[in-house]
Amino acid sequence: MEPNNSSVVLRFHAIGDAPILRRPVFRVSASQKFAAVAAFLRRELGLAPDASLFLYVNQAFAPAPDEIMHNLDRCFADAQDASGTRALRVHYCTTAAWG
Amino acid sequence: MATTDLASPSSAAPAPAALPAALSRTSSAVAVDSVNAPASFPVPAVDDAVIETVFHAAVPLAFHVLDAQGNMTASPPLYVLAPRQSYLHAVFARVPHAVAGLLPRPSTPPGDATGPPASSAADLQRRLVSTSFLCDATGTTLPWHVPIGVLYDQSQHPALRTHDDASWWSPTDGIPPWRIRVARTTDAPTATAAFPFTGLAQLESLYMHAVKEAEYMAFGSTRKVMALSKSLSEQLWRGVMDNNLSQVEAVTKDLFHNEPVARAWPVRVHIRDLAGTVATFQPLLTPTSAPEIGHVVATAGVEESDTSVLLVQGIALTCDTPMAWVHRHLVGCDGWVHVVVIKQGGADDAKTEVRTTTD
Repeated sequence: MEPNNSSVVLRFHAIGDAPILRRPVFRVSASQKFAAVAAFLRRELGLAPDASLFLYVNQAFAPAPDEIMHNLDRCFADAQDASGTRALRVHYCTTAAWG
Repeated sequence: MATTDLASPSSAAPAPAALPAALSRTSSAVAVDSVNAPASFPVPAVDDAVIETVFHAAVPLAFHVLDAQGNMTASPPLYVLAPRQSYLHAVFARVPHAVAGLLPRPSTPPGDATGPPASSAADLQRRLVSTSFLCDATGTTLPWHVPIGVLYDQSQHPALRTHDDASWWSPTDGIPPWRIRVARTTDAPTATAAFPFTGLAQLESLYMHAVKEAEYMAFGSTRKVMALSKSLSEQLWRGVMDNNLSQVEAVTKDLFHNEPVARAWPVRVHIRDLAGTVATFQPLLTPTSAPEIGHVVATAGVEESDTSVLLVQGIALTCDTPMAWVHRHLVGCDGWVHVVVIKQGGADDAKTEVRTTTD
């Protein structure tokens, strides 16, 4: 899959006892803010609105909720499998993992 | 693969453009003489005086409290000379004795936004959480997690206004402070609020993650930040809150400047267009592909023809300023070089906007 300017491929990874997604790969609009991804994941996992959820990019940092997905994809996405699929790795957990 | 449309689409990022020629300097801003900035990469000569001056730079703010109807209260404005590196809520937290009576209470009835002074730190924190800051000219909610200096450059650079725009300020008193409205979060325009402020701990967390993201951008890992002891992490945040250079530099020097940038410049380009809208572009540029700041703004799609001012830390730069020098001397406490580009024509547009709101 080739990267494009209109969408971003996300690959979710559960950490610890966080619920596991049946399908870990999604495509979102590149113009979306990271907060929309968090809200979407919360819905997919069926978490209560007040349940804690922590998201990290590349097991390293949590982007600000208003960061644009296109910027994150450009700077932090990489090819992850034999087919060369470019994706942004997002790890999620219900307790803080990387600070 | 599932396709998920999370919201309505917006404009795509601008395509890379050719490197523009040097931008003209503006007489209203301090200009850095790029001739004196070393052109060689990757290790620039370090000028401690520049670093100290930039770190201690401050901007004048005037906070006006609004009632529930959005009108100015009778309370006089609070004038603050705020550090560029600090944040709006952090500034208020630093002077609780001055702001306790100004901060709105979440449960006050309409027309009574202030109330008695806060009696405890917990009460002050509770009031801070229910407080939003609005730009006086546009009425939009200001992003509270963005350094004050960056917000100031986006909307208050001298190129964007004239003295007669501020009818409430005498021109003989010099440049007017940036007028910011203080309102209850429930009264703030939700459409422009990125996400709610929930406390200083959240601000600290966002700050530390911004530092990590900057280190990942520059070096491809967050090894050094993760290796910081708890006391050093707290020292860094305290240094930002207290505007203490020695505390901050003792940590960030090792994080960002002990070795040359290996992956990409940690740079964010904030482009203010002709309509006054600010879009943030984060390019992935290696030091060899972007040795000068002109390469950075060109990648963000900014041409010389539509650019009037290029600012970093409130300083107007020319396109031939070496990025290595900029990164060493003008990087923010969060590890990012925030470049503010005000496109040509933005000044006239902003003046029209201010006049409309003050008529």
